[in-house]
Amino acid sequence: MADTIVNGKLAAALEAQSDRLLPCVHCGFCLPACPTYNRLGDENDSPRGRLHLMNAVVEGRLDPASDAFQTHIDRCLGCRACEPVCPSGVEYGALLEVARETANAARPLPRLTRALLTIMGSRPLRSVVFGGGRLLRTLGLARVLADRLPKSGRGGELRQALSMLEASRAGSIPPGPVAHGARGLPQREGSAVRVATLDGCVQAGLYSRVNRATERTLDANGYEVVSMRGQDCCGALHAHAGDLEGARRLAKRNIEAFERSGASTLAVNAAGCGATMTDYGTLFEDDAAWRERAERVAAAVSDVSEVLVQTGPRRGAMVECSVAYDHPCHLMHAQGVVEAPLSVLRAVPGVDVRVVEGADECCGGAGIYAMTHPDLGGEIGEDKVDAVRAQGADMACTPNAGCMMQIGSGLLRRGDDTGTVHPVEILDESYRRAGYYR
Amino acid sequence: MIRSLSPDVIARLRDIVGARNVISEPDRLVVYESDGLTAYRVSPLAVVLPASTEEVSAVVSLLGREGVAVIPRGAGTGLSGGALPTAGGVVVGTARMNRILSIDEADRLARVQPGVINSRLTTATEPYGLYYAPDPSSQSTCTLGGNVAENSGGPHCLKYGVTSRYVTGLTVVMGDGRVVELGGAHRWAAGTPDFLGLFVGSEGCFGIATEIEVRLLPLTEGVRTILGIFETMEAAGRAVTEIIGSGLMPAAVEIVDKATIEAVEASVFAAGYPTDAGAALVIEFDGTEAGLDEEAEAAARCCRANGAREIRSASTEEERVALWKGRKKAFGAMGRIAPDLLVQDATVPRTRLPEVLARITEIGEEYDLKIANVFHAGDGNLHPNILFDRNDQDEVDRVEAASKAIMTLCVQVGGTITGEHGVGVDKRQYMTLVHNETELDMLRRVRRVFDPSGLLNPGKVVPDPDGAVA
Amino acid sequence: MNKVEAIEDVLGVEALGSGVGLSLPGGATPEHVVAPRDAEECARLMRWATSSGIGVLPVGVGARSRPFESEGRWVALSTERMDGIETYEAADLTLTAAAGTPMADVAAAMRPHKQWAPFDPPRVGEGTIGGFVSVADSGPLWAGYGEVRNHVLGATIVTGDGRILRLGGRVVKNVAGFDLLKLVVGGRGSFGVVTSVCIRAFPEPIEDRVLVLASASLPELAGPALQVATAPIVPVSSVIVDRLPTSDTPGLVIRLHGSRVTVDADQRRLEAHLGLKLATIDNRATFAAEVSNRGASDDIVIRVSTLPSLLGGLLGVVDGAGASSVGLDAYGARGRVSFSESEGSQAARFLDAASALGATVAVESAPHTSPLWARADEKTSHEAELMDGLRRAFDPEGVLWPTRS
Repeated sequence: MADTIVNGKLAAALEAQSDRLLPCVHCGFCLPACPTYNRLGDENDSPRGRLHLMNAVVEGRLDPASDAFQTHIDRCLGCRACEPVCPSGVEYGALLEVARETANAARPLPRLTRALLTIMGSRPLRSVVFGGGRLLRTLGLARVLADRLPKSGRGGELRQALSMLEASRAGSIPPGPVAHGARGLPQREGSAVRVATLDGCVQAGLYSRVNRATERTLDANGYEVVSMRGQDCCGALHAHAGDLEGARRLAKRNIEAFERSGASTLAVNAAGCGATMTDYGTLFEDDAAWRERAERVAAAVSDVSEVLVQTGPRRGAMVECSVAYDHPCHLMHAQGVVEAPLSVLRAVPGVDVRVVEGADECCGGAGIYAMTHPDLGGEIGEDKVDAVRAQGADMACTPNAGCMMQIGSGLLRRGDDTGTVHPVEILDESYRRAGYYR
Repeated sequence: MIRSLSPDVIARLRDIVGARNVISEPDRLVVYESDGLTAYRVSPLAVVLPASTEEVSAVVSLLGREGVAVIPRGAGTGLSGGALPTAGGVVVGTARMNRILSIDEADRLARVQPGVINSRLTTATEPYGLYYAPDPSSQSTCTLGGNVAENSGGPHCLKYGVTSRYVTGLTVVMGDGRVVELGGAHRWAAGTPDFLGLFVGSEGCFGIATEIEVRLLPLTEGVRTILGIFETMEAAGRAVTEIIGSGLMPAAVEIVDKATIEAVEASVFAAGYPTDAGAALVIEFDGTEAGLDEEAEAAARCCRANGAREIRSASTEEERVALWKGRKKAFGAMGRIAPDLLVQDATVPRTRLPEVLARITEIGEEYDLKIANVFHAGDGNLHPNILFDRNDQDEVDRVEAASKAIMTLCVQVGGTITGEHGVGVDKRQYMTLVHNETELDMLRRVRRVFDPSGLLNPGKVVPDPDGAVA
Repeated sequence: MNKVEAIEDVLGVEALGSGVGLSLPGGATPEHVVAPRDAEECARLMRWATSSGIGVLPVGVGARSRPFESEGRWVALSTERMDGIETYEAADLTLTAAAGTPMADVAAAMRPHKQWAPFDPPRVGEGTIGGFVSVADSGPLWAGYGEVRNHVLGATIVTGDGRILRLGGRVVKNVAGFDLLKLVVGGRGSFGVVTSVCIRAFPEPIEDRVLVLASASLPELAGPALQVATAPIVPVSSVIVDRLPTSDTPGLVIRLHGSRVTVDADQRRLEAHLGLKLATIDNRATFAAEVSNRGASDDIVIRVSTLPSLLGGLLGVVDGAGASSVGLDAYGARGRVSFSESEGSQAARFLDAASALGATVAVESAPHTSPLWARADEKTSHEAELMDGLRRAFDPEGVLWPTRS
């Protein structure tokens, strides 16, 4: 090994995680849950293998700058499907973030990843980039450009980005009239539970319609939706990429904003954000000043579907359509939320919910993975698109912006224009037809 | 011993299986240095991941010509080190050979590649009303190829039998790369000696099974599970003997001891077993719905007659999962409370269980080790789990000594050194407890018949004649 | 020194067997019949045979096998003096007995404990436990209980060169080393002389029900047989016979075991699946024994096996073959067809026709002069190669079965 002292320093962060690494008994139960192992068959690309690589770094047997460590730690989707199947309860997601931090310290992140993280972490940059993106999308240029770019190399990355942008267009919920004689909901009585909502970076930039639907449906279910001024990107993309400092910087803003809001619940409509925010405590576990505050916020975070399910959700008017539902990994595996989004959909009369086969497997979107690993992400995405299309539903439905774009772009590549919707969009449409918003 | 593969050999391996499927960079081989048994670590020279019988054959014959040892590997979940690389050897992994080739509904047969995961076969055959019976505890991840190599068992093998009962035919790549067929469901009349049965459980030393034909069973109509809580292990053992002897045919009878209950209940997997109990007994019946209540009640009567202080029964799938939890989560729970865990495996005649368990407790005290027992009580298959810390050399030595004491004890009462995990490297040292030199010599001779070159999984199963085991 | 003296020297005078009741393969005339009392005596005999180039033919096994003609000198080895149950642990459901112990004695020992060995090949009660294990024919009950090979827990054998091997043990699960026991079970004495075996006992079923579906012809049973083979429950046995003991017509005989409630429910499920009612037989024991002997009741016995989905075609061939007795296990699509005529021309035509359907066929029994024996061996080339290699490992000088290849 080239320089064990330097390596030792780099490994220190991982070494501090020994208590998280130790429970792994190398049993291999995680192998079949891992999308990359299933496709490549290389144990270096399995959770057990990656944990073994981390251990080897801690033991000083492997250089964190080595190709092996860099490639295989990077190639993980971070879907955390390995966590629920682990008999020893290894906290893989937390370890992965630290491993990536270690990997980044040994060898800087690729330019594309750094650029994406910089954009997401900065409000002004975000508004410029997403503003431009919305313009391309509205003008229909995203699709035109995507079709002309080469499929591999830099062009491939941009092509994927553009096609995801195009995929963020509104899904095609079949139109329907407001019910005859519909009227607004009665005035709330007494004090309601105050809920703050996360705007998010991609959601605010490309899915404002989902954010509005989130606010309206919560309100219709008797919650008092309050604003959370000063909030920012949740930091998930940064944490996943191993930029834990960047993630903490963003998390602190959200913690402060939530505390100011006076809300008791923080509803999140993107699974990826929810997973990171319910784990804010871990992010600050070595920071005495922030840890408790972070844990309090983490405890208040819930997926919007869970909040809605607590009070019903209220039934709306008929929306006749069929949806192919896919579980976001960061809802199912990271937060253990499986039934709530389905309950939201089932609260809408007329919706035929078809859970896609293999819904527990990642769609390949995985934050920015689809852009940074277009080959493997694409292969995993193709399998998901096959599974979605096999349902023959009117549209795909999944409660996470990244998955919506990944599945949507995959559908577009097949010339399938049906689009992808968030469950609250359908609930929202049902409420609109019921006249609750009058 | 060969220290490295020449660039030419690596290039030819890449030609056979594709560049992406040959791993030869030392940093990337670290991951393959152990299987489910982490006490041993040896890095292979390379890992090759073929996708078909033809590719396995080409790889094995190339390596054979080069005099390089071949270590077959499935999911690497084995607990005896059967897939531990040999220094100077190449791992041939079946991870990419994961296709189900055919499901024959009328004949209740399936033909699969060896990398197919045990439980996925059942998932695939359920739409036909069929399933694959052997259910090793690792069935959600272990491969059928590995099951064939180890002749794997599982909780429900009490009623249904182990892997060898369900394997009806194999396509095998021999040590010299030749492809041969063994068995075949329709070949009963030929009256050929049971080469197939000999191959099953040969731990990768006789060849690599590249296609596996297995018999399927119709799905059972119903299932009933009861949990008996006992003050003492002896009482639970007596209940088991009475249940088995009564003509009832339980699908599974599993026991966890006091130490295991304490470990599970102290962990995040707490199953709600009372921690002051001496033993908990899980009994399961499956089959035709109509008779199950009666059978479960008869078993419950046996438990009560033998002093069970509490009987819980499950009627829904959730309740069933809850009753099993203390058994199924035992290893994971112990993995969390100790840095290292040695999962032992031995079989004794069922009626000797109580005295053997009492002796194992004494052995634990003698060597100052925490030993918790989880076992397939119906067929006397014990899994003493020894908790330790590998960084404490003195403790490691005591684990070694206690393991030997347990193995000797099991053999003395008429049992054996492994019931389902195989010999691998870990149990080689104990082979002399159950076989004399004449018998060991015969094992070596038979191995040479299948693999004259001795390049298939060398250093496994049979100790060397000079008594060396490492 | 003549051979008798040599044998006496090796084994002691007492070891010279009477040969009374020995059933030798057709045409076989040994110079002597030797009956060692235990594995040690047997090992001395084998070592002597190896060193003096004398062949040894174990009998009591393979007696109904192909004709035996030796070019060299040979003796027959009888297991008749290795007789007696060594241990029977009823609570553990295991029984260990010397090879020459009659299966009838084994059954008698188990009966008071309400236990049994659930195997029903033709005439299972007439042989010895050593012969039973060496032939390892499970009978149709394998569907419910598994094959003999799954339930032999251990055996002591003496190899061709006189080494004693204790294989397996007396525990149900055992993977300590390669499973050489599998070569002994069904090995027909090719790899060694079995001197003692340990088998698994089973609790007797609470309810044993025998059901019958009579039919006008064998081919008409093809449909119901396939229905049974694909039914949601697996009967412990299901056998097609050309003549039912009760009606002299072909029929399908199905056995169900379990508690009374279970068996009632299984019968209902099976009848619903078949879409017809089955008749219940009262005198079960005699009936079942007669059924299990069908197919093996004549001079010429042909073994045949195929897949359940192809059983219909096979029944068509059997129907016109002129067989004198037929017994086919419907779940395993395997069984026996026997012929009475001495020259075997009908049997030969049946062998051809069944082979043409893709079925596996073999001659199990025929007069030793019969041309049927010349029919091709069913072993494939690599099986023959393995056979040779393994026989050399167990019997380097080729003492056992001296003329066998």
